[in-house]
Order: sequence, then structure tokens, then C-alpha cells
Amino acid sequence: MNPFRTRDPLDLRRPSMMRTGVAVLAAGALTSLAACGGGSGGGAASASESDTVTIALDSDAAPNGYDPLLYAQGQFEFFSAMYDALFVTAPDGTVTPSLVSDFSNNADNTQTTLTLTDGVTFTDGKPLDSAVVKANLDRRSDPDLEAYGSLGPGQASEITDVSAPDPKTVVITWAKPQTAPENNLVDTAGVIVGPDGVADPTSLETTPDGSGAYTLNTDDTTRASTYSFEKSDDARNADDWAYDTIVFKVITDPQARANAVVSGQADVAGILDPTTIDLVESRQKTVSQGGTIVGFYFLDKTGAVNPAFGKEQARQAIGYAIDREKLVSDLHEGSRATSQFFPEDAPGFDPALDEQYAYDPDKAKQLLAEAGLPDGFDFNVTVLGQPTEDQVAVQAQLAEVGITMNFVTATSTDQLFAAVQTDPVLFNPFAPGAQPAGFVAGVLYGGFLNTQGAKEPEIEAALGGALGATGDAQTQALTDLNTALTANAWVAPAYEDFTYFGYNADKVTEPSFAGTNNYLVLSAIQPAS
Amino acid sequence: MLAYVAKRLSLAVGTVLAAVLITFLLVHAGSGTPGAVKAGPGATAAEIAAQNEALGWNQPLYVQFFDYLGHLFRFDLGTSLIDGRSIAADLGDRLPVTASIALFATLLSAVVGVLLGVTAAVRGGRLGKLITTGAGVALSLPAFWVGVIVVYLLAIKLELLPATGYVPFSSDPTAWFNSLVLPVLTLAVGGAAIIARTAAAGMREALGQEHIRTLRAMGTPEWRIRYVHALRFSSVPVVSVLGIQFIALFGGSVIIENLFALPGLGQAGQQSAASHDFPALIGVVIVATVVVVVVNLLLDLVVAALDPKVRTA
Repeated sequence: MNPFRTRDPLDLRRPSMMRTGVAVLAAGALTSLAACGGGSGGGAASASESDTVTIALDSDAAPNGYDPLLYAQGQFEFFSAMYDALFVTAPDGTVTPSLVSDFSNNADNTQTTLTLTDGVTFTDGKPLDSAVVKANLDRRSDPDLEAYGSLGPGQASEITDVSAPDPKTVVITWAKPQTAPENNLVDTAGVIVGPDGVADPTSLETTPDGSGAYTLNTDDTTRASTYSFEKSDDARNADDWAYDTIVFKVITDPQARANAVVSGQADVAGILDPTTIDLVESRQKTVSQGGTIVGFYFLDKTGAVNPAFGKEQARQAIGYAIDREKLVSDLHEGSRATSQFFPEDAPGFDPALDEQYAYDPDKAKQLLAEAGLPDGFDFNVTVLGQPTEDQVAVQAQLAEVGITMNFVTATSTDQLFAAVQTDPVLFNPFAPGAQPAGFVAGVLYGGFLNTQGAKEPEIEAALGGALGATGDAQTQALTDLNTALTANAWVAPAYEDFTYFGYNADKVTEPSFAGTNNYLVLSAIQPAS
Repeated sequence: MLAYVAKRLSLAVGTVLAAVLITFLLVHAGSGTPGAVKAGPGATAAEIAAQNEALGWNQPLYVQFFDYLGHLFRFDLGTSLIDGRSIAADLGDRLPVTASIALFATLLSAVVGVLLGVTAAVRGGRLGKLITTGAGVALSLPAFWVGVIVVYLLAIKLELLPATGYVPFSSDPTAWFNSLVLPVLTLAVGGAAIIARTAAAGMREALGQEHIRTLRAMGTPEWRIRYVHALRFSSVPVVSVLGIQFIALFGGSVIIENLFALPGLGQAGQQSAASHDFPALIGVVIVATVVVVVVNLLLDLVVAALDPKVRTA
């Protein structure tokens, strides 16, 4: 017997244990691969069953819980499963009554009377009545409720009073005449939360309280990752919805989001990053919507912060110094270079205005000289974290004509928002929507993009015409307004951005946007025949 | 051995407590307050102060710390400032995702790495150089790049596996396995490379040891010398590296979870940091620390079992 050959039991077992372990792993892997083979794109891992639609989102739709009033209009794409609104935007852009069976506006559009739909019940078991509508709208002065951003005190569509003369009637009084009052109560702004949720809004952090066709399946929901909704067959409008289950998956990585729709884990995915559109279109389909205008929005038109911006020629020089075509070709394939504020599909859009500020650095220098700034000027733009690729590219283009754009880093969103008081200009995306005159009145001329209260008679006259007129007269007034904004250099747009959604045409029909908005009408997503 | 276990256990508990204290102090050293987060961006100073008072933020620091520890010992991590959800329940849902990815990636790295490393050391020659060079290249590949490539090949082109998403084991075991394959593969590439190099170096060293030469002289079969005695000798550094690998994979899960849209701890940590959700952030740090400490403890015990010298050190 060899004294060196100690027979540690483990010594004998280990090689065989290792072999067994490897064999089990290999068998498991092979079995699994076989189970998902056949080009199923993930087989059982795909949630796209016939009664389920899976939608991949680029960000968490409910980061602060399930109070829909905390969110902007675009979140209605998500919340419309659980909540109904007084009015909703149809795919053709028309504002359609939903929780309202009838409505009327008085002669000068300062008062709206709503008759509520019968047979509506909330998740908390209580019925819809005028008291709960009033209770919802009475939250409008809460600054945290983004949906009520334009309805609160001092805002463009301020509501001064909400009364409930009987259980089925609500009377809303507006501070000033509205072009189409019902448009202020559409989608998220018109969402009605149930009585329990309104009475205790903190309960909405975890428990939705809506009258929508779906309820949240908490067992299959992981916050900020997956939200699962199950249709209630006894819901008032259950027949308007095609799927038994709607699953939203939050996929923040752009490549992963595109991969999800390409390989079948999502039936619809958006918003797609422009760099992934080719990949998606190589295997699936996309649908797009313009309407977001990215560029410079001048805040300091009086020159109070930076005297250069008080001079129209200096602002115009910025317009001529931007090489929009290069910006689009280098960074935003699929976007449209533009130098006007109105989107291509909006009334008042004028193709000729896009030629007005064609890239011309010499013209920019000439205008700077005329403004008394032959050596150019400096200005600051506040950014959160790092400047965007756009901002860096535009910075280089402005430098070529002697304009120096400095980036100031904000350490919080509060600081970023406060910068509208201290920066002379914003470089941001804004979506004027289907009614650009409303945006101009509420934001660009009468809102936070003009906190200095700068006046321009040409713009004011055109805006008055656009808000007061109808039909062809309104269209002409809108064109005049667009022209005035462009000529007086209140804005210096760079491009019109397009929102892309990818979809699996084998599973769903082409998704529809909510009119000119860049979010989808959830109920319009239907199975492919 | 019992004394060794007790010593390691007390160190582990101390490490967790230190991590809790440091995280707690870091959160309090910041300029923000939970009241401001809870009250929302439009809140007035008075509303924020009221929220801070209600949350106990104004109490002395040591009172808050011991109060937090008390809850912690009852496995109560509190509720999110943002949406009021139970942090323990949320992290309980997410931990299996991250842990399973890190664990399987570590296991796969170990199996593949040891096989390659031992082969490189035993066979040597061109194959050995090929494995060593290949491991060097694999080590230099960023995980997100590997992820993009494996998704493109296995999910987009060959349509074998899902490109994104996670399916719980309880819902569908096969789908669960499939949803883990690509993230695990992605993480295992770099891990296997490290293990292969470590195993190869250890094996080469082991095969040159005196006791191995003596075993050969005694006529012990070569397979037994290589795969029993030499492998056992080289397993100590491999196990140590495995521990570090697991921690690295666990910590690096943020990128992989984003790339594969997995609802794990990395995603939760990223989100709670972005939204200044202090209790949730502390919860993520504590859970991650506990996992890392427990894994380290287990590996220390394994190493001690493999190498008696460690126990007496």
C-alpha cells in the first residue's frame, strides 16, 4: 500500500461530481434552448399572447405612484387603462366626450356646463357624480399636479369656479374666454379620480382609484419595471378595449427597447431612439409623429440679463449661425430642419419661413456688427449634468460667428427650472400641439418663456386674431403669428423632432397617435387581423 | 474551525453595521431632506418642515440611527418617500433577479474558467497560448459590448432567446431560464477569462510542487495527480477570485439590468438615487452589502475548508 495515497473521500467524489454538474448544466441548457427554438424569438418569455398586448416604454410612467394628475398629458397613454377623463383625444385629433354625455359653452366661452355619463363606477366602488368631479378640479391650485398646470391660478386656462348644481351637472367658470374650453379638460387634465382617492391622495401612491376598463394587477407588477393591467369585464366601456391584459414594460436603454420590439418581447415600443429606427424597420414597422420643435427659445428679449439679447439683430444672428441641415444629418436622421416654431402639420405652418434663416454665417456676422457687437458676445445656458449633443454642436456653430455659449451645470432640477429667470435663452424641445396659438398665449408670450413680460405689437395682434377667429381667418392669423415670431426672432428653432414608435405588424395594427400629440391612444391599439 | 467561523461571523456582522452607519451618515450629510422629497417640488418651506418633522428627520442623529437599526432588526426597511411602497417587499422581489444573474454568471465563469485554465496549464503548447491569449482578449471586452453582441446574434439574428425581460421562476421555469441566459452569458465572458487565467497560473504552480513530483515518483496515475491533487492545490486562489467575481458581477448589475430590462437591485438603486428616495437607497445599499458579506463569509469558510493553513492564520 502506498502511504502517500491518502484516500480522502472527497478526492474520489469530486471528479465525478464535477462531471455530473457539468452534464446537468449542459442538459438543462440544451433542453431550454430546444424549448424556445423554432424562431419564436424567445418563446415562452414573450408576453405577446393573443389576449395580451405588451408595450415597452422609454421611462417609468408612474414614478410617483398612481395619481394621474401628477403627470403630463403624455402619461395618458399609460393611465387611460385605469382612469377615464371628461374628454379624450381621438386618433383624428378631435376632442371627444368620455365621462361627459353632453356639454355646452356659453356665448363668450367663459362658462362650460357638463352633463356626466351614467353608470360610471370607480375602483373604490363609488359612482361618478358632480361632487367628485368638483373635488378633482378643486385640487387645481396644487402646484404638484402637473396635469392641472394650465388650470391653476394665474394660468392661461385658469378655472375660477367649479359648481355642482345637481349630481349629474358640473358648471366650470373660466377666468377669461377660452378658444375651445373643452380642450382644457382632455386626457390627463380631464382625468377624474375616484372619491376615496381624491379624499386621500396619498392612497394613490400605491392604489389607483379610477373608472377605467382595467385594474392594476399588483401581483404581476414591479414598480418602475413592469405594470400589468387586467380588464374588468363589467367595466362601462370594456368593449372598447381589445385586450384582456395590457403589460407595460419600462425599458430605459434605447437599444434594449428596440431589441424588445424586434425580437417579439414587446408588441409596441416607444419612444424609439433615432439610432435604432433602422434596426426596428429592418424587422418590424414604425409609426412617427412630428410636432416637437427643438431650438433656442429666447427668454431675455428685454436684455435685462444679457444686453445682447435685447437686440433683435443679435437674436437673428443666432438664427443664421445655426447649420440646421448639418445638425439633422449628423445627429437627428429622420428629423426635419426648420426655422419656424409651428410644426409641419399645424395650421399656420409656412414652408417659406424655413428659408428665412438659411445657414449664413456671413449674414450672422453682419447682423452682429449692425447690433453693435462686431466681436460677438457671450451667454450662459444652464444644463443638468452634461450638455446634450445638440447643445455641443450648436455651441461650435455659434463660435464660428463669434458667439460664445457657456454651459453652467445645475446640480438639481430646481436649479435648472430657476434658470429661466437667470439665463437669457433656453435650448429645449417644446411641442406647440394642435393649437399652437394656445401654446403661444400660455407659454411663449403669456407664460414662463416670457417672464419678463416683453411686448411685441406684431405678435400680440396676430395672437389676438388667432385666438378670436375661426376658419380661414384663423388659419391666416396663425400664419401671421408664426411669421411674426420668426421675423422678430422670439425663437430660433433648429429642427422638428419626430417621435417614433415601433410595432409588430403581425400582432397589432398600426398604433395611432392622439391627434398631433406624440403619445398613443391606448384604446386604439388593436390585434392585427 | 468553530472559532474561525465565529470570528468571520462577527466580522461579517460588523461590516454590515459599518455599511449601515456609513450610508446613514452619507444620506444625512447631503443637502436634501426626505421632507422635501415627500412634499414634492411645489411644496412650501413650511410643508417641507412639517414633513421632516413627521418623518423624524429633526430628531438627534443617534436617535434616528438607533430607531432605524431597531426597524432593521425587524426586517423593516421602511416605505418609499416617492410612492409609499414597502421597500423590503420591493427589494424582496428584485433581489432574486440580481442574485440569480450574479450567481449563475459566477457558476458559469467557474466551470468554463476552470476547464479552460486547467486545459491551458496541462496541455500547454499552442492550445495553452490560445486559451491564455483568448482570456486576455475576453477580459478587455466591456460587458455592455458583449451584451449587445450576444443579443444581436442569439436573439435578433438566430431568434433563439429573448432579447430583454425577466420571467419569474414561479410563472414559467423554462421562460425564467431563457430570460437569464443572455445576461448570464454576457457577464460570464469576462468572469470566465479571469478564472481561466487564475486557474492556469495556479495549476502550473501546483504541477511544479515537490509533493506532486513525489506523487509521480510513487506511481500515482497522472489523471489523479492533475485533477485531484494539483486541482485542489490551485482551487484556493480560484475560490478567492470567485468571491471577488461575484461581488463585481453583483455590483455591475446596473448596466446589465438596463441592457436587458431586468427588474433587479441595480435598477432600484439607480432609480432611488435619481429620485432622492433616501430610505429606498439605504435599503438597496444594505441588501447589497448583506449579500456581499454573506457570500464572502461562505467563501472564506470554503477556503478554510480547502486550506487548513487559513484557519490557523
